[in-house]
Amino acid sequence: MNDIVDGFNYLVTERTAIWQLLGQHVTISLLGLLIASMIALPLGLLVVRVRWLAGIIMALLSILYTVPSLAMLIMLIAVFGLSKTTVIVTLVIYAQVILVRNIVVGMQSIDRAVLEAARGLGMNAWQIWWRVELPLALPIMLAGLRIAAIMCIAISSIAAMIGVGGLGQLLFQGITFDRADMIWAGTISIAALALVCYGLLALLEQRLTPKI
Amino acid sequence: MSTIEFQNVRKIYPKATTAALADISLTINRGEFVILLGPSGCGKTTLMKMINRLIEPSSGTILLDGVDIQTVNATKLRQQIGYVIQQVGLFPHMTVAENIAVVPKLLGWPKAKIQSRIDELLSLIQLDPAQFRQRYPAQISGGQAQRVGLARALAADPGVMLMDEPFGAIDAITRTILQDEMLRIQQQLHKTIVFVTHDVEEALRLADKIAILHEGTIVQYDTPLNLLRNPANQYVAELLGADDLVRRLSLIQVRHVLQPLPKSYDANLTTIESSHNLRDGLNQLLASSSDQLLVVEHNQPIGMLSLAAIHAYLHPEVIHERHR
Repeated sequence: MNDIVDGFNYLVTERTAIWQLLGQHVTISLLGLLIASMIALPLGLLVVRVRWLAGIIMALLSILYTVPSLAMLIMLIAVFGLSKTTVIVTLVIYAQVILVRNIVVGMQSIDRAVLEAARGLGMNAWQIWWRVELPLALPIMLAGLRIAAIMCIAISSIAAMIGVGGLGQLLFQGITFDRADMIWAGTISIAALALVCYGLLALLEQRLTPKI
Repeated sequence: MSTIEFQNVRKIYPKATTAALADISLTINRGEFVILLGPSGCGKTTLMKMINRLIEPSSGTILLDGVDIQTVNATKLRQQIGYVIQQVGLFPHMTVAENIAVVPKLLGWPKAKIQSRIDELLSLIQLDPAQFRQRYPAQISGGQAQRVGLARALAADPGVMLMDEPFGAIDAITRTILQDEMLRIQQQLHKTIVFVTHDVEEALRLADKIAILHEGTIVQYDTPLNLLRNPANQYVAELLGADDLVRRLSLIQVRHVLQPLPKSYDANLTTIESSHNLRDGLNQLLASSSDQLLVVEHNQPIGMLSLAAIHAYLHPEVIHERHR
C-alpha cells in the first residue's frame, strides 16, 4: 500500500519528466493508430467488396496477430533498428487485424435492402459510401478503434525497452533500479492514459452513433 | 408518365444453362398500372430491375420514352424512376423526412421546395407531417414504413414507378388498405407503374394489365378481365383460377351489367353503387329478400341489377356484345 502512495508521490515530484514520457507515449501510440487506420480502411473495404480476398487477408492478419508483441519488436529491430519506426510498425501490424475486422463486421451489419434501396434510388458508389454505409457502419468501426487504441498504449509501454521513451520507461527503470515507486508510477500513469483514451473514444462513438 | 418498351430482351446469368428471360418484347403504355405476375424464379423481378439498370440485359433493347436506356447514365436514370422494394429499405439513420428527401437532394432541389414536397407527400400517404416528419424508421410500423417507402420513391415525381412485391411482407389487413391507397394514389397521379407480385388476388385487384410470366417468357399480357375470360393456356387458367366465377365477378363493375330503369319500380329496394363490383352485387342480391337491386350513381337511381343479368353476363356467347 505504501508503494502505491510512493508511486503517486513519484508522479508528483517528477511531473516534468512524466509529462515528457507521456508526450512520447501518446505520440507513438497516436502515430501508430493513425497509420494503422489509414491502411485498415481501404484494406477493410477491399475485403468487403472482393469476396475471395477476404479469406486470405483475414488469415494473414490473424497469423501476424498471434506473434507475441515482444517477439515482433525484436524481429523488426533487425529491419528498422532501435527506433520509433520499429515500434510504430509493430503497432500498425497489431492494430490491423482489430481495425479491419471491425470495418468488415460494420459494413456487413448493414441491411442489404437498405443498400439496394440506395442504389435503386440513384445514389452513386461514393454517395452510398458517404451517406449510407459510413454512418451505419461507424459505431462498430469506432468500437474497433477504441480497442486498437488501448492495445497501442499497451504495446507502446513494452516498446520503452528498446529506448524510445514513453511511460513504459518507468517500469523498466523501476525493475532495473529496484524502485517500487517508479513501477507504480508507471503502472498508474499508463492505466490512467488508457482509461482516459477509452472514455474519450466511447464518448465520440456515442456522439456519432445514429440516434435510432 | 412514360412509355416503356422491351425489344427482344434476353437475360442469361453467367454459368446458367437456361435463359432467365428469353426474348421478351413488351410495351407498357404511359400511365398504365402493369403487373408482372408469376411464381418465384419466373423472371419477373429480373425483368423489372432491367428498367432501372439494376440488372443489365444480355441482349436486346429497352426504351424509356423512345430513348435506349443503355445510353443514359445509370444513376441519372434511377433518379428519374421511383423504386419500392418489399423490405422497404428505409435508411435507419435518417428521419422519415430525410428518407423522403433523398432523391430531391441528389437532384439538387432548393431546400424550401424539398421541405414542402415532404409535407405534400406525407399528406398523400396519409401520415400526419407534424407527427411523422422527425420519426426514425425504427419508430414506425411496417405498414407506415412501406408508405414512407412509397413517398420516398415518389419524391422527385418520377414518370415511372417500379415496385417489387411492395406489400409482400405486410399483414393481410394492412395489405388491403395499402392496395386501396395505391389505387387512390394512382388515380391521382397516373404514373406508369411496373409492379411485381406472385399474389394473384393482388394482381387482379390493382392491375390495368397483367403480364403473366412462366420460365422466362411472357405467356400472356392482357387486362385482368380478358385474362380470366380467355386464358391463353392451361397454365394461365390455373394460375388465375379462371374457372372461379366469383373471382371474375369481382373485376366487373355493376354499371356494365345494369338493366334500364323501368317506368315504375319499388323505391324501397336495396341499393348498390354503380362503381361497386358484381361480387358485391351478388352478395347483396343473395342477402336481400328481392331478386333485384336498385343501382345508384351520385344518389340517383340509374338502373337495376338482377341475378338473371349476372348469370347472362357470365355466358358471353349469349350476352357478350350487348353489355360491352
